[in-house]
Amino acid sequence: MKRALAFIFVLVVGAGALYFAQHRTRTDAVSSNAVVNMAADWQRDISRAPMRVSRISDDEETRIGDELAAQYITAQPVQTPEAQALERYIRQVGGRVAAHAKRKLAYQFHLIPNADFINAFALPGGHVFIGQGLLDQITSEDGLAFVLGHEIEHIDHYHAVERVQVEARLKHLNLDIVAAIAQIPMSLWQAGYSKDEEFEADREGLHAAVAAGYSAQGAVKLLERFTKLHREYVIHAETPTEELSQVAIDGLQGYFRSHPLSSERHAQAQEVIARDHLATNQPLKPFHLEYEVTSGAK
Amino acid sequence: MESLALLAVVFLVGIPTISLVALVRTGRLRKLLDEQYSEHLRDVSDLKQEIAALHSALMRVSKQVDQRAGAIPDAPAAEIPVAKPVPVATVAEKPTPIPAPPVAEPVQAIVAPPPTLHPLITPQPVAPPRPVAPLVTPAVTSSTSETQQVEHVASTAPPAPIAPKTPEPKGEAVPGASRPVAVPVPPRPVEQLPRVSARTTVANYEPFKSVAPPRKSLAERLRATLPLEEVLGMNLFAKFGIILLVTGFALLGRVALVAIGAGGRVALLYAAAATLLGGGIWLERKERYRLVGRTGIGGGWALLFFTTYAMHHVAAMQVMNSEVLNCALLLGVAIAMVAHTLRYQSQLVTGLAFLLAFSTVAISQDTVYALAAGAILAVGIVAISLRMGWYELEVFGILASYLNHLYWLYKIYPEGVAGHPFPQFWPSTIILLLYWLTFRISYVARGVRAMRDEHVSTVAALVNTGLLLAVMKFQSTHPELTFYALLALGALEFFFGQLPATRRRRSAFILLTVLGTILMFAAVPFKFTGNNIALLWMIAAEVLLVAGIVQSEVVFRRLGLLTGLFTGLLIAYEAKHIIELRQYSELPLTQDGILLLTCSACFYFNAHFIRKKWNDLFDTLDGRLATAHSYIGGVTAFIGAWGIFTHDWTAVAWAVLMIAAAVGARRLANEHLFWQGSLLAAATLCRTLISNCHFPADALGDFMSGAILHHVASRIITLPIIAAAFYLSAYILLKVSGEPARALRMLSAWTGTAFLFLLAGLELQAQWAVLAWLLLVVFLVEAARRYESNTLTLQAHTLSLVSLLAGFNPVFLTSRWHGIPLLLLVCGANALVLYWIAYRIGRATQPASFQIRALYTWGASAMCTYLLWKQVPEDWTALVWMLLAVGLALIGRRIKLGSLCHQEHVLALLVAAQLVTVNRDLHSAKARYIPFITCAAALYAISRLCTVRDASYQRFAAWIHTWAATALLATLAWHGAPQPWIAPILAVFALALAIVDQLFEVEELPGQAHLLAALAVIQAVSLNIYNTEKWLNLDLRLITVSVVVLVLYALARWVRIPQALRDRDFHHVYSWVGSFLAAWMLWSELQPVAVAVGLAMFGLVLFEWGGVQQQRQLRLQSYVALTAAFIRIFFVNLTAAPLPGETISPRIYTVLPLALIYFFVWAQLQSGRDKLEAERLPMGNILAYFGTGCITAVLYFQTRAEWIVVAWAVLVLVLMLAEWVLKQRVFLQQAALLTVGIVTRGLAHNIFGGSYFTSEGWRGNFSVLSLTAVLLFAALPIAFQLRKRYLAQPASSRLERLFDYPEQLLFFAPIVLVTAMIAVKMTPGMITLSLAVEGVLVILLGLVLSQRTYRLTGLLLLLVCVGKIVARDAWRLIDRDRYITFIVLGGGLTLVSMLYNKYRESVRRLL
Repeated sequence: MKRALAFIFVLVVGAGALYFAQHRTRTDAVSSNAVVNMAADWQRDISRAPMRVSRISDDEETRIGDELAAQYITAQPVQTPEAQALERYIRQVGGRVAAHAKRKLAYQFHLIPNADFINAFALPGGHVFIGQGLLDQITSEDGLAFVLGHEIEHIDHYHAVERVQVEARLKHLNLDIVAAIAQIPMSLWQAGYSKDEEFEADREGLHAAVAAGYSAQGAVKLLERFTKLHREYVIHAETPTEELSQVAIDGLQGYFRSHPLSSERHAQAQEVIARDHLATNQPLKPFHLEYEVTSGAK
Repeated sequence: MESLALLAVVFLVGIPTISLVALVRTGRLRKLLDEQYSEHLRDVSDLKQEIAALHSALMRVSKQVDQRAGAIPDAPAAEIPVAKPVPVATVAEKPTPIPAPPVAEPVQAIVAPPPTLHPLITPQPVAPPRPVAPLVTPAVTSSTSETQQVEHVASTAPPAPIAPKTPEPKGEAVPGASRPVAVPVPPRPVEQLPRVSARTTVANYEPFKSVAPPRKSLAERLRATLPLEEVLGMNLFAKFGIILLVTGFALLGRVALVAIGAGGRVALLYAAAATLLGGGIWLERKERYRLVGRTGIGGGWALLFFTTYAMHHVAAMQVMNSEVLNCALLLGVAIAMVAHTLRYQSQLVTGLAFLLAFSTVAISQDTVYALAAGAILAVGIVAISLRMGWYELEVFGILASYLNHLYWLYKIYPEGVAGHPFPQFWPSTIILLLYWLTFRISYVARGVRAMRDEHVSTVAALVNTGLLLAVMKFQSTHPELTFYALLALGALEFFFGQLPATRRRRSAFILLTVLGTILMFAAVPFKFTGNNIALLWMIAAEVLLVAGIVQSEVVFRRLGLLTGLFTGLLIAYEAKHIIELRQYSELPLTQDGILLLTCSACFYFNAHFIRKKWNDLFDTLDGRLATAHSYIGGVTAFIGAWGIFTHDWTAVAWAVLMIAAAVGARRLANEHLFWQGSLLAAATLCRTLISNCHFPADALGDFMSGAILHHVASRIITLPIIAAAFYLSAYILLKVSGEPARALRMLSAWTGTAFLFLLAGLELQAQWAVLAWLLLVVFLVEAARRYESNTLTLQAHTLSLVSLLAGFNPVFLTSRWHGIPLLLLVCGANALVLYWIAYRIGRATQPASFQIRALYTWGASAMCTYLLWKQVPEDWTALVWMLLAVGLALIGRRIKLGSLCHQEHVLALLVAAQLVTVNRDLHSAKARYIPFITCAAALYAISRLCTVRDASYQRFAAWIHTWAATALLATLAWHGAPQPWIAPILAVFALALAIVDQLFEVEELPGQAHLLAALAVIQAVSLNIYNTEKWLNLDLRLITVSVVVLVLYALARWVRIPQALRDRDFHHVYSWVGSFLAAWMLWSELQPVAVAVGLAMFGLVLFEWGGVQQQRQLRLQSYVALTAAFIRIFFVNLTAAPLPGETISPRIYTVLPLALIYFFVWAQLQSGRDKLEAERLPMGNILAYFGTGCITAVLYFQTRAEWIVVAWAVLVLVLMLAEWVLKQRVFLQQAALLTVGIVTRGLAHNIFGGSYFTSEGWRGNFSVLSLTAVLLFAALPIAFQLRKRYLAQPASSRLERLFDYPEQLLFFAPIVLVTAMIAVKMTPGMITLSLAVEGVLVILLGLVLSQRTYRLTGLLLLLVCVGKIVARDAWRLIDRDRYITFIVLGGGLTLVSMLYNKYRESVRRLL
């Protein structure tokens, strides 16, 4: 009898879970993100100890970053005047935020004039690249400051240079040779970092943006927008076979593949604002593209 | 300079005086030793007599026992062996009907081991009382003067009660038992005791033991061989502590306390030295602290010596200006130090004093004259070593003296003196030479009695010279003097070696002679070059060899042979230019060649003439050296011949050398010449292949294309000559016996034939070469038959194979010769020759001939098949082959030749392949269907006639044929039916076959039905489930898959399966497939986040349904579904984010119910009938792991990253509680694994993975890790309770036994975390102290909980502190921190050592 009652209880609990799960208004994406994120976190943690021991100097990091950036900049198409103005604007905002980084590197900011490139990434030594596709999603200068601060903190906290070290170790590259550095593909930087590093970059980037005079609400609004976009952007499989294919090839692309769930990032931003008493009533600054184009024309 | 003069006077006067005194004292000591040795011999003689008497008494007792046993018929005689006392004791302990005779008492007393000694060795409870205890205890306590431990043991052991049936034996029953020194067995437990403790001689009874000693576990063996606690805690830490203390005080005197001035520092250090010395003397009188006291004495004297030294030589403490006075004071202190420390006759005290004195002087010396202190210490060490025979101490003195000197040089010139002005060169050189002379005189003058002392002396002599040369090299400013220095030093060593005092010690004579010779030889290259070196060395070698032969002195002779050998190696090495030249030039080098051949003759003369003439002088080693000379001669001859003869004639010259070596091997019966000949043969072969054959660039391509090759005149001349040389070599070796000679003969014959083969291949066109080879095959076969030569037979087989393969040359397909196709010519000839050889070989009687004949028929049939393939049109090839196959099968069956039947099988396979690959796709229906149907019919027809009668595989062959026919028909069906209907058609066809089998019992049909069903399932899975078409307004996928599923379930019930397989649930394959399809549909219909729950529910239902139906396979299917659900959560559920308004995360409400389901199923498997099932499968535990894994994963994804370890630690605590309450080991295993995960994550993430900038101090990772450690420590009480339980109920499997000691894991995990946290997070200055505090706390915890591993951990932590100080703190810390650290840690270690010695009995009991 006990067994029957227990069985019924378990069955009811399971049926309830099944009911609630089946009647969710949103279809959750099937992906290997959980496993990949977990593996990335562990890989990052395990590689951190040797990274600490074999830390390369700031000068060396800057040299490597300059060579990588030169390679990537050369690969970009010729920029239009509008794009050049936009890049100047990015440099202006990024320079303000970078002044509050802990490591005093020569931070430089570059635009990738590709509307389909919805991403941003950072190279060792201070080079930050941001795609026009991502800029199209940003509605305030505060949001831009948060994105740039996020990438600056990837550099500031050695995330980028550690990735170079890991890549060099895996591919047996000698970083003293330029040709070896050229073997590091751009996709390595677009792939994002571990979940822990992303959250760290979010926290520190938010602090840097606020210290530079921007509103913390810029980050909140931006992450809310990302959360909404993520729901629309994710491809939902209809059959088990599609799910398997989706998991295998990891159909998500760009920004959402390389970063943790936007909802979690949003939650963390809210928590940081509350914990560190960051001001929330500061008005958001609009995105001043027209002004930049005009000033660039001058 | 005055110090130098004083030093010289000390050396010149002191050393002879000390030597004389030492000789006199040595003589007295030797006399005393001789007397003691004689007394010892007498004791041994008495002991032997007593043992003999005891043995005879024992034999008498054994005989009496035998007689009594023989008188009682019930007593098994086998249980009472006569000759061994062991079984006697066993019998004596067993209750037997024999009344205890009086004579049995002493026997039992003898064989029983002394129980009171056990607590010394193991912490086991006191052994059960035995009646022999009163006998043994007084024997032990009165045995030696060192009875400290035994007294303790006797006091801790309970009094042995008197056994009622075995009265206490009298002491007289064991003669000699009260004198343990008389027992000729080494005291066993003494090796486990520390050196500081008083040694105990334990009475041993091993010769009389009745049972073998119990086998020790790995931990016990480690404990015995590596007594870390005793070595570290009671011994080494005391020494480390005093070293650190003295060094710290020395540093303090140099750099600290500026305000009190030099005098104050001197006074302070004198006070410290006096304290150490006085305290050491006081403690030394107490046996318990004897080691600490002795280290204190050594340290005190060292500090006293240093302070005296520093009064003049250390600027910060300089209170004295006179070097002479300071030297005199140093000498006085050294003499006092020697005199006082020798009172204790302890190398520890004296060695420690000297070690520390050297060390303190080394860190404080500034000028070369300050080294005088080191020289005084060296003289002191020599005096002590000569007097006391502590030659190890002298080795240490040599090392210390030279390294001290080197350190002084290094401080001035870190890269060496070379090239720098060095004004102190001559004083430094004189001091070094005085060192060398002092230690060399000590080596020559000493009297060595034990072999070990001689070994130590040898090391000292070598180190003395080696370090002198090394330091001289380091301070070398005149490289041109190296020759003279080495020559002089070598001559001096050689001279010392020839002294009468030295020659009395053979080892010393050999060592110094060899050393001198090496040095003199080594001097030559520093002045001479090129051939002159070899010339001088060769002359010296011959001189030594002649001297050795004339004086019959083996040392000289071997030195001569050795130097000759090295000279030969040098000559061979110098001849490398010939080899290098031959890489690009064939220029003859006549002079060099003649020189090498002359040298070769010289070496051969030494090796074969001198050795043969004075054979009695050449023992094993000399003989080997002479043999080496022989090989060197061979090498030089080889290179010399290469130098003289070039082009194709090199191989000819080597062939001549090969023949000469063969002749030598045969005439002198010398195997080394044989091997040299073998190597020469190999070289000749390689050279011939590379050079003489003159292969064109693409020889094989030319042969394949049938091109006409060019003729080479030298090839036609040299190849036959070399072939003849090989044949001649084989002939010469006919008279040489042995397996290697036989092998070489065979290889030579093969080589000759191979060269003839190559000659034909290189000189003839392809078709004629093949025919020529076939002729050669025929010739070889006939010759082999006539002469019964296996080698020729094997060569014939090889050539046949080559000819057969050559017949497939594509050039024969298109070319003709006088209208005759070359294919017909070559293949026909091949087939004829092969069939003919098969016929000829078939008449032989050897067993292998049958297999060989079969191979030849295979070759001939292959030729025929090849011809048909190329001649018949493609559409009908299969049919013609089938006819040939049928013919072969029928002929083979008729003439009972199995190989023909086998060929039919292969042809049938080829037919099937041809039909499938060619005929299936032909447009012509006639060419498609007729061959298919005809061949299938033929296969069915000959399925029972395709083997010889009564062949073992007849049934198998019939099956294969019918399977092939069915497969061909199925292929036709597959090729023609519409895609969606293939699966149902095949399924229905399978069902039809099953039904036919049920009716007619055709044994192949069930298997074919299974295969067709499998194909139907594959088709359904791969195609039908994706089909969205409609048929008659119905879902085609639903219809076709349903048909397949229905047929599968019908087959599960109706298909015929052997009962054995049915009993093993083999028919449930079909239900597995059905369940798989059902699960697939579930996956297709549910939301992604609900699939895992759905699968788990499906698994739960299957589990219960399987229980109701008692179908184990349904249970297994449920396990698979549950496993799939677990895997699924990692792809959806754990990344599912909550929606706005959702208070509970979907991670929680979709994953935790899974855990509930898993634990429910696990709980069902722990009782009743289900438990039996769980015991058959590990699924129960796996499900428990799934349940815990779900919770662990939710905690991982739901908790903040740095707090995951805390969450897991809480889970560990819960799991431990579950283990304690439920008594299920699976939870302990999970807790252990999770603990490992906590440690890994804690180290990787919380410690090493933290931010570089945002250190949150104690609020961050410190608090997290500390809380984690506390939680893990909180589980320790449960772990100790579990350990008690497991000790009472040991685990049944090895895996489970791994977890029998949970308290170890739960202790070490937090310790690792805390230690790593200290090492990484603490400031550098705090690390050592923090680790030391941790170590002390851990030791205290280990003492409280009686855990040896805990104490060892604490000791290791302290040891790490010491290592860190030595490796890092001593060099990187600033002076103030350095001496503070040294003094504090030194005091701490000394304190720990005192504590260990105070409680050493308790510690030993806990071991």
